[in-house]
Amino acid sequence: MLTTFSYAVTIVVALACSVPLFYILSTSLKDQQLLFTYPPNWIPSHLYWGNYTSLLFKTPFLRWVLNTLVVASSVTLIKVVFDSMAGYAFAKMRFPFRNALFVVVIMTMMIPFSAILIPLYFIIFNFGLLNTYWALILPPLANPIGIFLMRGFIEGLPNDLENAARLDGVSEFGIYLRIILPLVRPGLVVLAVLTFLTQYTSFIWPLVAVNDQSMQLITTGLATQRSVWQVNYGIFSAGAVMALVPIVAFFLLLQKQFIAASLAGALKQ
Amino acid sequence: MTAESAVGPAPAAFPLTRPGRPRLSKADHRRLRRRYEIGRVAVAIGFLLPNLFFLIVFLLWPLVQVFIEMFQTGGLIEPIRYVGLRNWERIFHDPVVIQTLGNSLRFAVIIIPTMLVLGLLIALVLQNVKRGGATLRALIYLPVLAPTVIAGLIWLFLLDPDLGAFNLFLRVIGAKPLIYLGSTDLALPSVAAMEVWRSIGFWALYFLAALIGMPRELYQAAHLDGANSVQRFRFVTLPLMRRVFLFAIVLATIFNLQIFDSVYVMTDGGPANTTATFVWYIYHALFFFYRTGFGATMAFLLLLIILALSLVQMRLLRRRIGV
Amino acid sequence: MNSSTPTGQPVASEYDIELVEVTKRYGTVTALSSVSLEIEPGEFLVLLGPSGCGKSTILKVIAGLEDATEGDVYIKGKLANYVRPKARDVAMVFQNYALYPHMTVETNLGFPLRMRGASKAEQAAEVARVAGLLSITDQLKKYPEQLSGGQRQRVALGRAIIRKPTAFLMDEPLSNLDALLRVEMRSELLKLHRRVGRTTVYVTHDQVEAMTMASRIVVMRNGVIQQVGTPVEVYAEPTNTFVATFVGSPPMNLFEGRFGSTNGTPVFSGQVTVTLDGRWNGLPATAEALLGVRPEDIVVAGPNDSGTLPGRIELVEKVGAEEYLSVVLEDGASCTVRASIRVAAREGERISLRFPPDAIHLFTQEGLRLKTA
Repeated sequence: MLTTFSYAVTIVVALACSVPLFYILSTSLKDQQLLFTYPPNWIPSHLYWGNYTSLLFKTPFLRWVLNTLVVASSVTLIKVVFDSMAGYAFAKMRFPFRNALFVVVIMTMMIPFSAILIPLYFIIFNFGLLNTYWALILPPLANPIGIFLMRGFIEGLPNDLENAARLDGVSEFGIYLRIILPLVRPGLVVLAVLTFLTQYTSFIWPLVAVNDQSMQLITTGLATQRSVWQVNYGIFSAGAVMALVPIVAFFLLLQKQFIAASLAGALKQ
Repeated sequence: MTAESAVGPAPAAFPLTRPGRPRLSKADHRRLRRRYEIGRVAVAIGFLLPNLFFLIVFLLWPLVQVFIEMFQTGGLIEPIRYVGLRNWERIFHDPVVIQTLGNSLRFAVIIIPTMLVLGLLIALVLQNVKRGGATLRALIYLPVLAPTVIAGLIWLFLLDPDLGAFNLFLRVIGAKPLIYLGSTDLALPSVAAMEVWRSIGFWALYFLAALIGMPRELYQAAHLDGANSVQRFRFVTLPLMRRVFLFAIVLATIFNLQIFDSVYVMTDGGPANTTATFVWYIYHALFFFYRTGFGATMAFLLLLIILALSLVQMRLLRRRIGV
Repeated sequence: MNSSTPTGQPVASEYDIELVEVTKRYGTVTALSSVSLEIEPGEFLVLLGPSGCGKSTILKVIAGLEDATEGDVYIKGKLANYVRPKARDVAMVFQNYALYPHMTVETNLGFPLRMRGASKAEQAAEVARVAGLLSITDQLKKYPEQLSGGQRQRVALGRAIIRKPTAFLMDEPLSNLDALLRVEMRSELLKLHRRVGRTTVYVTHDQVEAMTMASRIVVMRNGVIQQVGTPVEVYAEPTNTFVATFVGSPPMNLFEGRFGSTNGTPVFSGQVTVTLDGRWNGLPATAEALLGVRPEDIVVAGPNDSGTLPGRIELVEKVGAEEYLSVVLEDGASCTVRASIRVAAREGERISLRFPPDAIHLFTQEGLRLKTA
């Protein structure tokens, strides 16, 4: 009895969540004119690829995809390296003010991005970096959650491992590279997934930092095209589908890490 | 100090330092230690520096700037002038600001309870779904993967008065089609609905994780004590979930205060600012009114509110699970 | 006897490792209190004491993994306080082995050599040699998680041996093994020490290990050295009641009372009354003293023998070829006696005990050894 109810609720919710996405998928494959048909047909009788070809060849979409990939990958790579280094320092090294500094790091995690939007814009403006990849890559590197995550992962490694390595003649950087990094690989993956996801879905900062059509990301590109494409929902749908496909694929492959990353990103503690 | 000498013909002390064994002076120790320590600290700094650099330049320095800009006006088209607390006055007298605060409140009231209660319900129910559970969970989580902008675009289409699925559905059942995003009454609830749709999967997962983490023994003990499932829920699950739920409320509130993407892409604040949110107005202060001091003040206000909420969050975390 | 100049020039020193008034503090907690030790080349020095007494801290200070708050550390005559661990030429075997989980046994063993720039051929040769020495040649390609506790321990040993350091530091290496394995490994370690011959500093809380393995024992408590001596010395001439009761199982029996002489004969009276022999002549009378006698030294006498202490057996613990008898004496004091099963003791029976004069230890009220004249 309870089980039937449970299944019922779950199925309804699952449908409510996924049907709009499938609907968009189907819309993207329909010819624009056919959108007026009534009653609406779910599965287009004839697959129309025009939306996709228009999207890919008549709009800067591909360029946006490239931008997004460049930015997201760069930020992820750099962050994984720097954050694991800082996490190692906080977890295992002794230096003055270590605890105070870490408290500062934790406190900066609480700062919402929108609060520093305006001055950040001016800083980038003054460096002359508006509309460049740098504008999109550099500010996200300041997000302290990576340090927090990595410190947590590295703390769990037994101290004796590094002690043994120190006696064996390894330099501090060597310990980081050869001993610590290989052993926190799951943590690195979680951080990488989290960072990539955050960059992929980032919106307000790219909106502010970049003006040129050719420098837009997938998110900002699609959003700012409303005036240009107006009610051509076909192209919008195609854009939405193309934006979602990589993430969904990623998700299905790495479900566990994804979920860990989302929870970590949200909890921030 | 080791064994003190005892009474008796021969002391039981055991010789520590051989006479004539000179030790290194304290001064020498200090000097050598300083060199040794500096080497170590230098290494630590090397590991920290890249990250700290970015943290300071792109997070802390802008934060300081916000604080400074609060007291200024101009910047983009006018020269900068110090105006003291005038920005704060302006904010509290600006009708749009008041409206955004009201909108944020309205968003919160619609979104947060719906999302959390529904999320909890789904989580509870998911525990009973064994076969196909993974697939269903994945489907429920799909909207979370969509960037808010994309979700907004999807709903833009769904809510289109002529072509959108919602009105299509209304026409099918013979009801009158509605105007959603163009209506001053329905715009905000529509955007709120989109936010709920998008995030429900996350919260379901969050609560599910919390439920799974519940200690089994408590349930078994309650079961042995004769409690049925409703009673077990009321007396075991609910109290333990209280902290989880409170945490969720704070977290959801913090997210809620920063709604921007959906509003930008779906309604651009309208119609008539009925969907204008706080962050949306900050964005506009910068790019459309060029009033950076004003925007900075709003930003600072937002910062204070969120910091306060975050502190509440941390306090909640620190408290142990006491039932 | 010799010093090194502050610039670190080594001066001939007869000791491999020296600690001179080393103190180690963690905030307000003092882990080591003015500890001084001279460790001779080739000896097997055991640091013995209860948990938290500072013995592991000494190892860490010697190795450079912790810095001494005060005091000097010398290795082969050279000041080592501000020398990095890798340059101190000591190797350590950790309690939990600390094997690199993501490397094979082979790589683990060869790692120290690799870090010092040895050629691949050299590494391979040495790894083979050490693996043969420790009988782990078959495990070379495996990963640590695939090995048993005993095998992991050998790999940890091998990683230490392969460097041919000045000294080995071992931090309770046997405590994670089961009892049978522990006994086996104990003798193996000793054989290894005889073969390899390097100075070893060995930490344990197990006094049986200490007594069987050590050339010298350092008994510690709360960061303070209680006694340094050979196993025989520590057993037969404990400097205080802590050492007396820590070493030896079951622990030494202690009785309160006072020491004086009656008609020129030294007598201890109190919880028990024992007439002592001439070796205690010349000791001034003390109002409060402690008398100690080990359970294994107490003799079960016949009921009619003179000079015995009567008592009643309260508890008999059978331990194989012996029995531990818990005996309550006349004045209410209780003591433990190790008796052979031939005594056929039964609970509730009366028994007469005698404390042989050579087996009697006297301590002050504070617990310090009173020496015979």
